[in-house]
Amino acid sequence: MIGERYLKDLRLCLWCYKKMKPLHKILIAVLSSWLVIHLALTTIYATDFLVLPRPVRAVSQGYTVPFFHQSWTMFAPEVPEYDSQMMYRYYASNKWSDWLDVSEANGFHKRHRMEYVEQNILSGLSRQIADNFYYKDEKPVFDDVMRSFDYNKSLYYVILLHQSRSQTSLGDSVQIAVNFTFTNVPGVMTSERTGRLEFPPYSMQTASKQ
Amino acid sequence: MIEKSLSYYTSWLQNPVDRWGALRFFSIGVYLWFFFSAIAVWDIRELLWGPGSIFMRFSGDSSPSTNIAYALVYRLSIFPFVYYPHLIFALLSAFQFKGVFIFRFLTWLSGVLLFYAGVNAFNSSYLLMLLLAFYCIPVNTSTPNISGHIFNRIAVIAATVQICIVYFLSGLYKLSGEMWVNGDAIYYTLEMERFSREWVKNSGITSLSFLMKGANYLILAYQLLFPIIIWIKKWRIPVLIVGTAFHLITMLVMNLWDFGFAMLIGYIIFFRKK
Repeated sequence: MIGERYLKDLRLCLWCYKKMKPLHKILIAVLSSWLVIHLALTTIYATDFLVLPRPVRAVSQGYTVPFFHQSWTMFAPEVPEYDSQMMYRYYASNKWSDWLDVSEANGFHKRHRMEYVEQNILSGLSRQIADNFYYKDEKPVFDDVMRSFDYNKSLYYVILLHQSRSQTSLGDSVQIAVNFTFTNVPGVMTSERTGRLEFPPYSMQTASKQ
Repeated sequence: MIEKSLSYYTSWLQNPVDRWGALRFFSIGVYLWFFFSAIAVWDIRELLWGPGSIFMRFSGDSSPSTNIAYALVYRLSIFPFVYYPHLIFALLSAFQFKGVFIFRFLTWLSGVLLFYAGVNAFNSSYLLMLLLAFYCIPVNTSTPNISGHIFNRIAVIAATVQICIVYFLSGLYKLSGEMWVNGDAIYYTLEMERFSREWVKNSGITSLSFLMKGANYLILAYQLLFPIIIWIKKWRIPVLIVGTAFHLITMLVMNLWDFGFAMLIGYIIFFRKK
């Protein structure tokens, strides 16, 4: 029964195909080809974990970036095992201000989009800390982290946000820090482990000279 | 055999979409998502894209396509000529009238410019919606023309396959780490202040190991199997119900409103007339 119906459908389709206008045939051929190529190239681009020949990667990158760029790595491969907050303080009138939470001090609550922006910027800085921060002779070495785009982006964000939202001047220097609160291992109840990493102060006079 | 398959495919493409209502609502949802997404950052629009933007500028290669996509990154002074028209274009794109595809194209293009200039304000839902907005440009569900039907059908294929790709690749990336395989990813996510609520942390729900691990593996299985089970007729509705519940939780608990709405809008395209 199903076979008969299928054959009838198929005969009808064959009839339609023969009666089809050439313009529609061309349109179908062009759009279908584009769709197959588009989905193939964008998927290749998005699967950067696959080992593929360099020319294939180059073609997929050339086609996909910038208009069809995609990244499906949200919460993957790992979820951070800590919470982090960006803090800052500034040196004005011959004294350091208190340490301030960047978004809160500039008038944005915890659920505001600006906190999301801050966390996105901070995730880059946290990666830099994890990869490039180390101790030498028991002294912290920040050089590699401070040369990174992520650190400079964080500093830029703090300075620009303060300047646009706060009435007070940043004065001579600004210093950023990251507060970490590490999540307990599942099933192990211990008190919260926290840590703070303070970067060296950044001179605003250097910035104004640049 | 090849000729038969081709004829079947071409005839199918020429017929009006069997889910024109779903396609109509889907395209409305996609463009309205851009409108509300831009409205959601209204109070900080100047901080994100204005001349005093909080984002450090960066550059891409010098290809013409990059120069177009990064136009707002390179010249923040054009912000009012991108952001405000984007709102109008997105709103107009939700309607169906002659020449609407121009507004849809402009919504997509201005969306690309806003994305790159404010990349830290968005997540991957913006990228998904840009792709879906691109596929919806020629959609016209009231067209009497065969060419229109062909465009509609191609848009439906592109959007459905794209959503399947998103789920599958997202699941694959999760498998490449240890946390999702061990079943601890949901626990760590809900323990993070950024993606959780105080009442969730205080409720003790994260201490229920079986629940955390169960949710972890359910999400992993859902993402990996979605591209297959969504095409099984009797499974489609249950799958979409589970997905809707999951995305509602991500919206309410994890504060990922844009992501949740993007995926729920994506689900509309999978509905069919009985």
